[in-house]
This record gives sequence, structure tokens and C-alpha cells, in this order.
Amino acid sequence: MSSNDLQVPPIREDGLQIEERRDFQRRFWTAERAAWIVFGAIILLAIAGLRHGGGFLDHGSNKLQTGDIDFPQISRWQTADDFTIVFDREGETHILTLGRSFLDRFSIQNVSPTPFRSAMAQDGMRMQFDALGGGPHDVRLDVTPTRPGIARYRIDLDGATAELSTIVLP
Amino acid sequence: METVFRGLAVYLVLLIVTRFSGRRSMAQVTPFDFVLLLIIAETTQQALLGDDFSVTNAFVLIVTLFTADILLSYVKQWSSSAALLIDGSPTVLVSRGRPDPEALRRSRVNIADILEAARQQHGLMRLDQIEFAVLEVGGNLSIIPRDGS
Repeated sequence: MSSNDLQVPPIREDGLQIEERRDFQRRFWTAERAAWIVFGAIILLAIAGLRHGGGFLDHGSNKLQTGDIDFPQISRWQTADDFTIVFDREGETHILTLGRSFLDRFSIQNVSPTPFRSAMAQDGMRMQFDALGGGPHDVRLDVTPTRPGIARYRIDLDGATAELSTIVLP
Repeated sequence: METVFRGLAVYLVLLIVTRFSGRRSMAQVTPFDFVLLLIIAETTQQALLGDDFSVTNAFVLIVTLFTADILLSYVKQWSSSAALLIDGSPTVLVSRGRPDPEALRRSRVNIADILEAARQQHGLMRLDQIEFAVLEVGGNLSIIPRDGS
């Protein structure tokens, strides 16, 4: 039995034997209201896309000379997400290189269209795509983040490099 | 390892959100509160289990949650400050028959709630028959009637 078990609440002036900590309660009521504001802010940020699933914070776009990368700015650990790569330049083939840091932070579930050739290079994984007619040509990567945290990675589109980052929420 | 951290994280989040949502919400449990409880349980399930639906994972999770609860009860027993922070303190809403406007307003309890508790607990008809009303740590309203009521 600890000393707390033996503590007897004081008798108040009105005769009630109770330990009412009104000073603490006042501070807690204020903290409670502040917490509700935080609750509201979380909902607003979720609507804005902070937790993925739509909203202006959800996906970002990076424009390169050779094309565009639509990437998730906010993602969730072990939850499917996608990158859309757009090759602007005309050409019979396009080369997409995913840096080692990308492969370390994302598990690739699907690449559409399927590259006709993919190879491991010193700087990451290089995928080569056939292209017909004029651009733009789109490639979609379905990925799953492998761990929470800030993922910083590199993607090359036909030689042009983009340094990107994604916040992966737990 | 991940299961234990998942369990502890969800336990902590639920503890904080429940504490800051206030005791008012537990003071009057409506049928909708039960529905809400089921929705929260369903929402929490995925976060707790992840992709592992094995019996072993469920067993580890259950043990983690119960252990966290036991540890927290010891922390509360050892430290009165921790107990105050986690459970709060009772709030006297009516003292010697006089309602405390600040306590009522900030606890989000109104006179009708006190009269309802008085009817249910003691069959009292009027406010002047109530000597004390206390919003307890558990979220329920205790009514002490006046002598002779």
C-alpha cells in the first residue's frame, strides 16, 4: 500500500470531504480548450491534404527541362501512393532513373507502362521506356513508403535531375 | 517490436484525446456515444494490427495494452501529481445548494443535467433539495440531497 492510498481528503469549509484542486482544474480547462483548437487544426490540415488523400498539400509538382514529376509531398507509411512522370520531349525512348535513396525509402509495387528494359546502375535503377509519336508520355509508379520520416530522394528524367522530398507519416 | 510500439502509440493517443475531450462527454452517455465507441474501436483496429492478423500479433498487442494500463495505474499510485494530470480532480458544481457558474460553464454541465442526476439517484424534484453536486473523476454526477429532502 503506497502513501497515496492512505491520504485522506481534507474537509472543505462547506463541510464536503473532497480534494477538489480548482487551481489545477482551471489550468486544465484552459489546456482543454487549447487542445480543442489543436483538434480543429488537425482536421483542417487533413482536409488540406496533410495526411494524404486529396487537398493542396497532398501532391507537389516539379518541372524539369525534360518533363514533369507529380510526387506525393505527404505520404503514409505502408500505404499505397503514386508518382506520375511526364516526359515532354519527343523521342523513341525515355530513360527514368530512380536514385538509391528513392529505392531505399519506397517499395515499387507497379510501373505503368512496363519498361522494356530496367537495369541496376551505380546511381540507382534505370528504366527505359519505348515511346511512339510525339510527347508528352506518362509513366505512373505505384509505390509504398517503407518507413516513416522525411524521405529525400533523386529522380532523373532523360538526364535532368530532380531532388525531391516526401514526408512519410507513421 | 513494431506491434508493441503500435500498441503503446495508440494507447497514448487515445489517453490524450479522451482526457482532453473532457469529462462532460462521459457524464451523459447517449446511444450515439456507444455508436461512436464502436467506430473508434474499428478505426483503431487497423492502426493496432497493421497487416499482421496473426494470433501471435493479437496476443502481443493485448499483453502490451494491459501492461501499459497496469504500469499507468502504478504511476498514478506512486505520484499524486501524475494521478491528477491523468485522471483530474472532482469538481464541485453545487455547494450548499448554490450552483457554481464557473464550474458549470467550464465543465459543460447545466442545471438540467444536475436535476436529471438528482431525479435518477434520489428522486428529488427541485434544485433547492440538492445540497451538493459533484462531477466526479469518472465523469458521473454525484448528488447529495439536503437533510429532510
